[in-house]
Amino acid sequence: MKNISNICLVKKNGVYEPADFKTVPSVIEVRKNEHFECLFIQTNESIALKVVLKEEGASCDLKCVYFGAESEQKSLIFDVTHAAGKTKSAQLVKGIVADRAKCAFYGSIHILSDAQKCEGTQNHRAVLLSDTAQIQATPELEIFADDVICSHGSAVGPVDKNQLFYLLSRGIDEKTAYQLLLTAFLQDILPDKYHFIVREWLHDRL
Amino acid sequence: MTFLDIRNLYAGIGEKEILKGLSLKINAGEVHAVMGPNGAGKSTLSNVIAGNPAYRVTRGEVTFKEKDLLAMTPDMRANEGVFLAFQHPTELPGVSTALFLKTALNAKRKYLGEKELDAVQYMKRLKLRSKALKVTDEMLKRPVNVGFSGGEKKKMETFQMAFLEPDFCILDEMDSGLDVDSLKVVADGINVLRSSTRSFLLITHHHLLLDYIKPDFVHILVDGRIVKSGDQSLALQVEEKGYEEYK
Repeated sequence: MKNISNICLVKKNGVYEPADFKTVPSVIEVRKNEHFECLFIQTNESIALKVVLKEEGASCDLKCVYFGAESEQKSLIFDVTHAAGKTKSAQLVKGIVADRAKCAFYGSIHILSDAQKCEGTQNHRAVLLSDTAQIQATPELEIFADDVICSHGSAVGPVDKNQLFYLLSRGIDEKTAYQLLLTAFLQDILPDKYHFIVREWLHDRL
Repeated sequence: MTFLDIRNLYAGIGEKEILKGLSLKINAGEVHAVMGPNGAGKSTLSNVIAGNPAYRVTRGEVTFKEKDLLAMTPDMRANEGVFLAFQHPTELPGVSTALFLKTALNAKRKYLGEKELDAVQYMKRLKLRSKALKVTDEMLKRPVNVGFSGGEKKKMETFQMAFLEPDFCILDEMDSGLDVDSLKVVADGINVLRSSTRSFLLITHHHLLLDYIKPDFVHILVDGRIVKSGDQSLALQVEEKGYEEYK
């Protein structure tokens, strides 16, 4: 999507606020009992973010929705280091890729040897809208402490044909049907305010 | 007026041929029942009429109000007035029932060149139809069919039909998975929709549904073809003797 650039939002006092990606350091350090939460809506350039949970009780929530179309090639890198005990991280990444686009997600969780009782999770889900679209998901877990909880999961697939047919059979056109299904797919990550991006992005597809 | 006209239809899934020369004509205001044993092609028939791309038509013609139905996309067919009440309604997690209904209704109005309903008109229509079919506000708030019992799903299908007011309704195994009380609610919901300008195709494998919704014609479908047509007494004969003699 050429006309919408990447959107970076950082949560402050429970509300997402736009942050200029260039002024956000690409390395974020989270201190004692602090929480860092961000959401990227990746529509064009690659993104790389490194978060270090420096002190006890630090936590982070990293989210990204990525869109890929035409012959775009881009990547998303989330790299989290648990440098202290009792730290917590969560990564949630969802993607929609069409045409001949190639998208890659590299998600890392490093837990250092004295960072006990940490919790790290990573969840990646993506929808392919064409046979020629490609997604590469590479999780990397590097764990040197023994008392930690860590998990990762990834699932990539096409839109459910039965769901699509059900919507079409009610008179809803294909583009609107995709929009409903993809918005539903993103409902746990994308705030209502940004649903228009799905609509605009789909406008040039299909 | 002839609504549905199927002539010598051959269709199937993948390489497998399921319908083998089926012909059926349904006029405005008529209620037809198609009965048949498992695997006869009943669900294939309903899916082919609705345009499910998983099914492939190899030969034959299907027209609806004299327009070539097979040339239309599924959404066009729906907006022309065809409605399929699914045997197994699909769950749509994350899509609210209220938004779904509104989108479907406005799609049809747009197709027909009518103005979209405003919020007040829409709510009025919703309330009118939901009450009759015992569809609760709570059900409308949930995502489409998610967490619904088998009976609730069938009520929701009937409710959608009442809400969208199609001209031609296909009810695919509407009675499967329904207890007698729910069957009655659903049948009542269907009976109030009967009119001289609306037709029904009831697909079933036993006659119970037909005790509640009296058909004008009954057809026996065996191995992809209609082998016998008659009135409701044919359904009772099948009930007594089974489908064996038609095989």
